[in-house]
Amino acid sequence: MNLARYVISLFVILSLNFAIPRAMPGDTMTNLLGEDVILSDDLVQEIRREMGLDLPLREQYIIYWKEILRMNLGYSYHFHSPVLPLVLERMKWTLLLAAPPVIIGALLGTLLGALAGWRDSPSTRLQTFIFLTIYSTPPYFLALLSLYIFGFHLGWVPMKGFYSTGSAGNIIHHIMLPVILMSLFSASRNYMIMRGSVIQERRSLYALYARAKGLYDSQILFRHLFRNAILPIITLIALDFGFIFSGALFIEMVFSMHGMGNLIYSALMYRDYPVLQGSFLIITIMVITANMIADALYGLLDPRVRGR
Amino acid sequence: MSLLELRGLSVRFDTPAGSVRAASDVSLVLEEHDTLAIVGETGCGKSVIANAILRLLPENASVTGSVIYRGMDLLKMSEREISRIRGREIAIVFQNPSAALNPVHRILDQVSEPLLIHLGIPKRRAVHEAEGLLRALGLNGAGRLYPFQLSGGMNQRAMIACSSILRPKILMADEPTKGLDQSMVKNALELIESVRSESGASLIMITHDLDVALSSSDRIAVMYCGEIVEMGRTEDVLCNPDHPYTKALRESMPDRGFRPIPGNTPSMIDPPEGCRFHPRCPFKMKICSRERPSLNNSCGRYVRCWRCI
Repeated sequence: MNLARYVISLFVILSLNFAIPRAMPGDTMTNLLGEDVILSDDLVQEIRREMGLDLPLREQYIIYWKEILRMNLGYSYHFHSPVLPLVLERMKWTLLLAAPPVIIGALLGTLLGALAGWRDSPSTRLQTFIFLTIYSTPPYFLALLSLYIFGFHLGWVPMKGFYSTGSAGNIIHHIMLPVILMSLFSASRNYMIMRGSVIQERRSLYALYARAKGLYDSQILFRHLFRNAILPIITLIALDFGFIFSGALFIEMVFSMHGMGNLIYSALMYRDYPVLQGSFLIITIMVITANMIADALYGLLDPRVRGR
Repeated sequence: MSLLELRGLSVRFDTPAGSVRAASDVSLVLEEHDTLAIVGETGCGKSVIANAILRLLPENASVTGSVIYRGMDLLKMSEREISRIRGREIAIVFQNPSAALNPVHRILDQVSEPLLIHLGIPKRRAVHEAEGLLRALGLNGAGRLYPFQLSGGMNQRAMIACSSILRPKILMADEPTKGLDQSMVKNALELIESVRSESGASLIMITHDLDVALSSSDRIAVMYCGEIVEMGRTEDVLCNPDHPYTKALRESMPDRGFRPIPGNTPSMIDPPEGCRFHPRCPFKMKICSRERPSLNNSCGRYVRCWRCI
């Protein structure tokens, strides 16, 4: 039953993926050839026909599905490369940049958030203040600021992305700052949610009963509250995994890194349909997979969801 | 030495609307194997007493007086020390079992938890012991299930199992029959009694139901507006009440004429001067509105009334 739901979502999203780029204003041919190139109308028609753009949408749609099933995502005229290897190559870097923050942010945010929600003290209040400040600052601004301080003034981190790709140490040196920043962002959001969730669960009767049974202080938090309080976070982390590729956009721009975000950005600028569609396809699959994992996790953690 | 003694226990809740005096100057004694019922209408402070004994009240509560358990003042203990008393020496059964059990843990794990917490015995043995207890309480096979899969009555059994697995010296039951239909009330009381007598515990039964008090306790404390107004042997007090409030409570029962007590429960923020029952009392005298009567003892019967001095 669940599987059917995922298949239907995939179908609908992939169809939208076909429709949306074609609904955008501007002519593909003009963008492909450039504004100052003057070709005869016949030649333009010729190219159009070759690329299948003269076909009715219905037929384009069928071709679109055929090619997807063949794992052929088309050819990018802007990047002069087939889309699939291009996207996979970029995805590698984005994963390296964005997956650690999701994991670090989840662990750090839920743990600190749970403790802050459990007990109110000057130190947790300071923590909440710091996380709230990070949470409410736009990521690109904080990224620019930290690049200015740690890169330009202190020289601790390089100013630019992966150009000097080489040893592992070199790569770590390059992605350190963005990874820390994104971890803090992800942690701050998870922190706020987890803190609120624990505050709510703390007032429940089962928490009181746990105390009445003789559980001492944080035993109540970790044996009883944590599992109930973490449920809302699971959904968010699942969404995070979906948004890794597009969400890293700002960070990639600021740190001049060649990842998926940057790729999608240039594809948008040049109306590069194949690359856009290919990227969205990957994002779609990621989102649906992440949701499947979240559903499974939910069932594992909350018996009330199981077997429904 | 008594098993448990409350001396001048008072509980106040600080709220934005003012300070709520939920319990005032409550003193009572519980001996071993004793069964004591605390009765009174909703909001009279009876549950507050039970929660104050185990220090389970929220942070805005301030508790004064003393709660002496086997010579130790529970109110003066550290949180660590009281946590060793909770569940092991003094256990409580709440009135809403389905909300008191953790929704995401199996019944078996919850029932065996006190063994792990207090005795630190291996998990497998604890689970084995919990299984035995559940079987004895007629919950065979329910251990693998979760609270949402059981009925309210079954959850209550599970909670009673959970609260009694360490054979506490005192078992407190906070309105265990609230919201149950008559046949279930009987079951619940029988269950509590069998668990109590089997472990030799003392019982504090908190209830608004006089019949429940009559069938489950030897002694009774009647509370009104945060105070004990009458205390003594359950049968004596209920069959032959001295305090006007106990009399009125008796007469409001369906089998005794169903006559409601005139007036409303007074505010606990600003309770009446003098005797707290005087605005509703048919026998009031002049002194009743001026001076607060004390709880007078005559032959083991305590009454807080100017007429009974």
